[in-house]
Amino acid sequence: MTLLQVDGLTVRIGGAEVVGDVSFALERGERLGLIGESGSGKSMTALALIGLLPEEASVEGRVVLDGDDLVAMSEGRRCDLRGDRIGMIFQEPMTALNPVMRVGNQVAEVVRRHRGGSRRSTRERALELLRRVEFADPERIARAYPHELSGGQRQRVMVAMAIACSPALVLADEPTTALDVTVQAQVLELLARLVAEEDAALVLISHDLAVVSGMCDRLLVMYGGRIVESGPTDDVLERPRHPYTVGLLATSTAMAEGGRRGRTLPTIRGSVPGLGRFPEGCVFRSRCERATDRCRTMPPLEGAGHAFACWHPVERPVTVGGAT
Amino acid sequence: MTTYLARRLATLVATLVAASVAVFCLLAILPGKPAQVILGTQATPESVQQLTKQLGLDKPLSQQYLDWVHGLLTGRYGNSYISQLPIGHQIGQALAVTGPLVLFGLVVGLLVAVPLGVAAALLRRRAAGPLITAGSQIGIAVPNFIAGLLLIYVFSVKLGWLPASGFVTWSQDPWQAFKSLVLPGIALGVVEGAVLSRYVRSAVLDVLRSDYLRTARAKGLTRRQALVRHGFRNGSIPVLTVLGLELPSLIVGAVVIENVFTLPGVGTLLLQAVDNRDLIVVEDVVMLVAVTVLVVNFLVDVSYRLLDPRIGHAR
Amino acid sequence: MSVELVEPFPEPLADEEVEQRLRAGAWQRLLHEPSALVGGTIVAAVVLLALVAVVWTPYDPLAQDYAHVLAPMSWSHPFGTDEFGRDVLSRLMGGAKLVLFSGAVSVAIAVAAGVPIGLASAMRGGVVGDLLMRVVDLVYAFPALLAAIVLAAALGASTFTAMVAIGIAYIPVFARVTRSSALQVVGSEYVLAARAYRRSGPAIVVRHVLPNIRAILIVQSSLLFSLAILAEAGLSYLGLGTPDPDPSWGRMVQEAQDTLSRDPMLAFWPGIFIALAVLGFNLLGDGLRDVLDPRLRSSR
Repeated sequence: MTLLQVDGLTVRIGGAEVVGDVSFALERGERLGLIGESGSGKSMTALALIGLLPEEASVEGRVVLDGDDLVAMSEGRRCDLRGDRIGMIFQEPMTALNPVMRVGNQVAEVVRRHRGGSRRSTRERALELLRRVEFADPERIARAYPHELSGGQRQRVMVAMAIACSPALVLADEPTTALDVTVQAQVLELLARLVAEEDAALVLISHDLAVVSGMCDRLLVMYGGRIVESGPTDDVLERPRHPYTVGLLATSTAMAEGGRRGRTLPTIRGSVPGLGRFPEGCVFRSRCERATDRCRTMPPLEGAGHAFACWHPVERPVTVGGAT
Repeated sequence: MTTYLARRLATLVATLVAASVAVFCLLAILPGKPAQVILGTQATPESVQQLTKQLGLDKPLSQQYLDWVHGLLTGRYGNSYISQLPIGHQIGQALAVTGPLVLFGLVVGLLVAVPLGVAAALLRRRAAGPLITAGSQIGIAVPNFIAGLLLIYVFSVKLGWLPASGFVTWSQDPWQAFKSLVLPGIALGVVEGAVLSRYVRSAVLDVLRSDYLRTARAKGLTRRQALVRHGFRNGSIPVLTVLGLELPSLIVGAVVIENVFTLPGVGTLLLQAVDNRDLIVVEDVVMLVAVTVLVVNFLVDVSYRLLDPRIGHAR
Repeated sequence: MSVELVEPFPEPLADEEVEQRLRAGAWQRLLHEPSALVGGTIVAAVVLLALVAVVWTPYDPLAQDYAHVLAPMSWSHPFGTDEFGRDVLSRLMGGAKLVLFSGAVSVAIAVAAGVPIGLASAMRGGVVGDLLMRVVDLVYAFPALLAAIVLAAALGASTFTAMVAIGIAYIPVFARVTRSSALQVVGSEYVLAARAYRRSGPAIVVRHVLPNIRAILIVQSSLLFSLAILAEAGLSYLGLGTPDPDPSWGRMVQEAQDTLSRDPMLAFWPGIFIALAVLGFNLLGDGLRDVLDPRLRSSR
């Protein structure tokens, strides 16, 4: 059953289109990975889903959660959904927590907002949540201020806040990017387990293929604010069709293996253009080796199950690591 | 916290000692012997010498300094050279005017600064925000005595609502006393408020841009709830610092404003003493202001730590 | 009167914007900065007024004319006359001269003493540097205008005392600003490199530190100028600055106070001039900061 249906989501900030015509569906309990370089519109997509875009942004399209359109509904109703039906985890656990408020109160706040109850009962609930994110002594953590915790601990607090009201959807925006590699795995594992326990759907945003591939059922590859390829994780990883996905995969696999072989790392030609400087037509054509005149018009995202938006898709299965 | 308090207290005391030495030395070099000034030019050298001795001004400077500090600490301020009135009493009376005045100015300043600063930040994309910001620029540029005269002209001369000058003591007629502090307090506070509003604005802007505010919104808090619950304390930290810096300038502003409204406050006392070369009154009043300022700074530092849990761990 | 000159919470700029600002010429950018433009115009007008006053004023600012006391605005006296029949416009012009001169001297004193102190404490560090800054902090905690009052009391009221007192009172502001910005430069890698080549301290200051903190010092000077004008006006108003009969804006306000009910503009003209001059230097300072040091851009 479909939990979330996104149709033609477009976000503009100051005339520049940061998210363009993004459409996808998410099943209950499904885990979706949203990947792309920084500046590809991943975070903006997530913020649009939860309705927390910067003031100056304008949104078009539909984001339907359980039959309700989040874009069209009143801000008051959106507030009721945030933290309750939708939980969100941000990238920087250092700054995302209020520095002058005790951690326990910050966790309790989300419970009190949506479930009400006495100070004491919400506090109990907060301790229980802290225990669920694997703190051995939740009482001590609850009394602590954010700066007294490590990065991983802070991010676990964020996870506790996100799942506090058993949401149907959890958005995690680069949840482990700011963390040490050793801590990353731990936090991801915790996130995966808790999302499964709550039977929540997960949208995991990352620029790191390794992070996403292990956790997600399906992948969306974004570039220039657009989805360029989407499909089941295995299909996308094994048979990427869009040249951008191919490049991304090549870079990331080579990073994992190539370093020790002393090879030159394959990279995608050029760099991500600045906001609003993507070319007309196919957004990737300024960096694409396959680009032709035909790419001056935007290719549609087509294909059942495994879809891609390219006039000249990569046909043969690419031997990963060799594609440059 | 205890070690911090102890260290901060030690600094405070050291600073106070340094300030007292500085004030004492500065006025010790004041041209013109006090005894000569008191007795006038007609006085015989003998009588000048006798009065000098009587005032204790023939002793070595170090002894004079110690006597003075001892007097300050034990509450024996002595008598004015000129009026022969006990200084403690004079200062007490003056404080009954200046204290409420500064407090009034502070309240008015906050009443101006906080709403305007918050509004300027929240409305920065509409016409009102930049308008408020421009207004605060103009407010900063207006000297407080001009603001005072403007208020006198409008509310005393034209409308006749409030007194333009003078002061009856609180015990005589509290309502009248309060009324005579209204205009001075507003004149003092509005200008400080303009300065402060800019800091409030940027503090609010910082809060608005913060990640933790976004987190609060993601938890389901409305914009207003998030701002009040999460922004207030965070935003008040930098504003408090500035308030600590502004309080001294409020006190100095009071000196000027008392002059505008001819209020018998500390400023008037100081200026009269300066005029009369009443050395000991000048010393005592300046020391009083210095102590107030330094103690306020101390309190701001301490409360800063109480508000911001991060600082205790930084060192 | 704020003592903290640099707005402590700068608004970050997008890198592109910084880049863009750095590319265009400083002068050209200044012309596109509305606050700098308005501020610069006001300051230029005040300077022009003062320059004209050096060679010519409509009347002798000191000449009393009891036939025309408290004259209203007219062609012969555009701003009227005061209670002694002196021409207000001429006195305002004379006041402009005085304000610029005393402001310049005050700022010069604050810079000449504050910058070396700040540099010395930044370069030396250690006990000497710490001690220097402790003294500076002590003076800093002391309200500037109060210090000026005490100095005026000790030395007697005059334009000279007021200038010196204000200059001294603002030394700590410059010392602190210089120190904090110099410390950033001293901590940078190119200074480390210069040290590795055994360049002497003074050579590093001249070659690396000063050029890098020049912008912020210029901005501070402009902002301090406005504070100096305010302080001078306040002191003169209290009778601790320029004595009678020389025209000083603050003093003019004070003299006009007695006749406020009869002729309010007599007090408000000098008031408006003070406010305009202060506003001009403030805006110019803000604008200069935006242009010279975009990262310290005041949040507008």
